[in-house]
Formats: sequence, structure tokens, C-alpha cells
Amino acid sequence: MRQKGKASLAACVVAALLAAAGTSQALEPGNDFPPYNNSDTSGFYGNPTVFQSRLSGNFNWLNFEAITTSTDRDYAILGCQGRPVKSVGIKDLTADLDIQVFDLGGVLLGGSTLGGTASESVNVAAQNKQGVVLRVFGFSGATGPYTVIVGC
Amino acid sequence: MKKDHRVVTIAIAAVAVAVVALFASRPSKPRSTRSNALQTAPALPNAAAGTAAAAKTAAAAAEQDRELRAAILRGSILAAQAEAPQPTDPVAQAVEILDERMEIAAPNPENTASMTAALQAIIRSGVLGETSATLLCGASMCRIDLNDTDSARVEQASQALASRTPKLFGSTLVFQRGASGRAVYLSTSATDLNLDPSEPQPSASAVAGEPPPER
Repeated sequence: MRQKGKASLAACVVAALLAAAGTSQALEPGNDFPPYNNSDTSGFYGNPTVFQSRLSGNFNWLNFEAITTSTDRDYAILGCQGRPVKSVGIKDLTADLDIQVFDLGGVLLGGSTLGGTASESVNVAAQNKQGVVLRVFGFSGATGPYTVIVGC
Repeated sequence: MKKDHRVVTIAIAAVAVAVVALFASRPSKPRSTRSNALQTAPALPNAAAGTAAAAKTAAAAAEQDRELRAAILRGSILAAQAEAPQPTDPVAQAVEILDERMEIAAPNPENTASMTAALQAIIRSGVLGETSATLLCGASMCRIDLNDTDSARVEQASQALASRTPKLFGSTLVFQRGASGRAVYLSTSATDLNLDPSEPQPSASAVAGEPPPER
């Protein structure tokens, strides 16, 4: 029940974030937020819209969706089950994807725009946020898969 | 935080030692006499030599008591200061660290010039709206201070800046400064803005063997 409440809140926050950012792209349920996968042992749990790492250290969300079109934007809400999020990133890139990280109120915390297929990461430890929104997009229309990393 | 605990422990130990010393030094003295001695020097009751010697001893003891009391007081003050919450603002600390990195970095005029030019072009393009911007670049890192009277406008400016940042800058960190201010750090390398170098690098092996996730 509490999880459902969190999911609703998270969806509202993302919708507000998108509205604030002025993007016309609607959320893509089932694409931006992959369904829970029982075979995944990444240390994440939760509903289709909020991913919480329940353990300390860095954890990877292995089965994340890809940026599939030049205008695709993926958003994911990430947390550490009440603890501050230390870092957020993406890896295993086959194309030049970039990221931005926001707090749950839509305030930009940082971004990573390294070139090529280098992993992207933003250290948000100093901002002391219990939840953040990750935005993934392709540079100059680049498309490809990625793995989300959360440091707790 | 560990350091604070150590200071508290040392202070408490100092107080304990002082208290023990106080009582150990004057075991046979009646409590009332010691109390009087702490207030003023004891009056001599008569002219007898033995009594005078006793009074001298009492005066010395009183002086010792005073010193011990002062030590206890100092210890108590020290302990109280250590227990008081220290002003720890992680954002202020992060800004200080990044500013310091910018200052101590070996000069790289070419890089500084190209970074400055790239960011000045963004600022001059007008995408920041009415938000004022102050630019400062070091060898591989720049800091832009955004200020506005409106908190929404400064956030818009921050996002506009981030979305137009060229690939020259690989990493960006944004810190809120006051209600409507932002300190935006842009770096050509990801390591410059890493505030937690001890953090282990993510790897696929990190997830191996983890128990199944809970729902």
C-alpha cells in the first residue's frame, strides 16, 4: 500500500519534472520503467516506477531499457531505501548516451556528458537526497542500451 | 564525527582525573573546612605557632583546591563545546573542496581559454534569461554562479545552461546557494567533480550472489 503511494507520488513528480522541463514527450510506461524482474538479483526492489537499492554499495540495474529513438528520453526514480543516494550513473554503453540527475522536486543536481561509450556518472553525495530522478538521452540522436548504476 | 567523540572522551577523562585528584589530595580534611577554604583564605584563630603552621597548610590546600576546581571547570567547558553540534553543511563543504581544486590545479591557459569561450558563448546567447551569471575558470574546471530574485527562473537558467553545455565539459554538478542561487561546476574530466574518491567503482561482479530482491 505504501509502495503504491510512493509510486503515485513518483509518477506525479516525474510528470511535474517533464512539464517543468517543457518536454512534450509523454512517459513511456513499460519502456522507461521496465516491470519488476524476478530473475534480476541487482539488489533493487520496488514497483515499475521506483527503484530502491536496499543494500549499501554500488548496484546495477541490469535489465534497463535502451534509448531507442533520437528523441527518446528515459526517466527513472532511484533511491536507497531512505538513505542518501551517493551517485547515479549508466554503463555498458554502445552509443554516446548522456545523463542528467534531478532531485524529486525537479531541481537539477548534475549531469555527465562524456564522449563516446564512456560510462556516465554523477556524484550527488553532497546534495544528501534520498531519491533522485535519472534522465538518460542520446547525444546527437544516439541510441543504444545501458545499465543503471546507483551508489548507496 | 569520530574526532568529536575523541575530544569528548578526552575531556571527560580529564574531568574524571581532576575529580579523583581533588578527593585523593585531601582525604582527612573535614568537608566544611574545605568549603570555607575555597571561598577565602582561612583566618588565623590565634598566635600559637602550631596553629599558624596548620593555617599555612590549609591555605596551600585551598590554593590547590582552587586550581583543581578551575581545571574541572575548564574540562566541563571543553566537553560542552565538543558536544555542541558542529556547523556541517555538506553543500558548503563540497563547494569549498571544488573551489580549492580549481585554485590548486596546475595552470593550463589553453584549456582555460577554450572553456571560458565556450561558456561565455552560452551566457551571451541569452538562454539564461534575466538570471545573472558570473564565470570563473581554472585549468580544467569552471564555476558559474547563477543568481536571480526568482527561484524558478534560476532553476530554468541552470537547466538551460546544462542542456547547452558542449561535449568539452564531461561533468556538471549544481549546488543550491540560498533560495535563488546556484553554483554550477563544469569540468572537462569526471574525476575533478568526484567528491567521494574512495567510492568503489561499479562493476558487474558487485551484484553477483546478491539475494533476490524483495517486493
